[in-house]
Amino acid sequence: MGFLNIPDKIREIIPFEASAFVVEEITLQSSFIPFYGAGEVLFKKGDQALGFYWVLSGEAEIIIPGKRSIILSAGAMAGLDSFLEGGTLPFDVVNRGQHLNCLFIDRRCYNNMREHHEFNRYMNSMVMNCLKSYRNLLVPAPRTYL
Amino acid sequence: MDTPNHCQFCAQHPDSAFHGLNREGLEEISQLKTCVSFKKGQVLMHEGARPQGVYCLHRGKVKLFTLGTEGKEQIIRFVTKGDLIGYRSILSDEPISASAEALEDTFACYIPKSSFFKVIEDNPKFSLNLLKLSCHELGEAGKMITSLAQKNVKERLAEILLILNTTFGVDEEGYIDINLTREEIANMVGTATESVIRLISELRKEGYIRSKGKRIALEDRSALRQMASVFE
Repeated sequence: MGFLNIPDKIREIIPFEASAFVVEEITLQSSFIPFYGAGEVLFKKGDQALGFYWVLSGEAEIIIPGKRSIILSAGAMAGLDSFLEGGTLPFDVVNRGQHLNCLFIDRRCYNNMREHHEFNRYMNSMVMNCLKSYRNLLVPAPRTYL
Repeated sequence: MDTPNHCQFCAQHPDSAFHGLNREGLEEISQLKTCVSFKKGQVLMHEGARPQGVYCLHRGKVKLFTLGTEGKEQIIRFVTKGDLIGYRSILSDEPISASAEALEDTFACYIPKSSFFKVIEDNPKFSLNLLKLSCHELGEAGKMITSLAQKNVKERLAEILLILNTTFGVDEEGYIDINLTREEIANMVGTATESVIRLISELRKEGYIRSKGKRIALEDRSALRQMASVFE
């Protein structure tokens, strides 16, 4: 994926119709980060969560030593829980596949997204996903898919 | 916009850190880079992210800034054509320390980390250029810390105006060739916008500068240098 079709990609992954203006704003305020190889680091344990990654395509993986990993596919948000908490990342987050495309969302962009009802609801569901994924760690299964 | 297909023929090549890179190195970068355009106000990189590559600016102007605890912006420096963004983060394997935002429509080339490291390993001259660049930026950061700690607001403003003049040059009417809001100047000086507005007015009345809207021209550079204790 190039750098130019980010608005289209956002529209593809959100489960609702968003106005062109809002999508354009998100594109301007976020930064696009492509990852090219498996194992490339999105966050290292201990990194300050000044923002979070929104996966546009590909898969990221939260590595939890001695536990199952959590897979983040298109639409999922990596580091959202730590960002909301205002803390540091408790685990490493890495690129799982060959090509991963993400948007990095900082505080300003996040606040802007929160101002739009549909995005606000979407973000709430992402927070619930985070909770679900950690809760699922208690269940013995090889992986959790979000 | 003239998009360079090959780094060897890029107009910014002589002024960039890639100057002196051998043909194979330039070939490697040319094949793997992605040319990207950014609109005014668009963010290239965010503080706290771990980008897996660097941007080499081809055209446009970019500000590097950090956000304080209350969300106040502190502009660290500006990036112009031929400059690299994000290289210190990937060299040190740390999250990026400042956000980069386009001040005008900007065009940059994104070079993946793997190619960047390969040319570092293969080209001692390029490695030395990067080392020089890092040392220069370290020196500039040291000067900025001293300036913020020891100079008063008017002296710092004079210094910033001199830096802007040197970095961006002047247009045909003699104004500094960058459109910054008073708030952005205040964020560079490290003070309130109201203070900057008052001090710019003072400097204008005293004949050091002239201004027209957002634009500022330096009228008496040597007096400003003296005020800012900046000596060439």
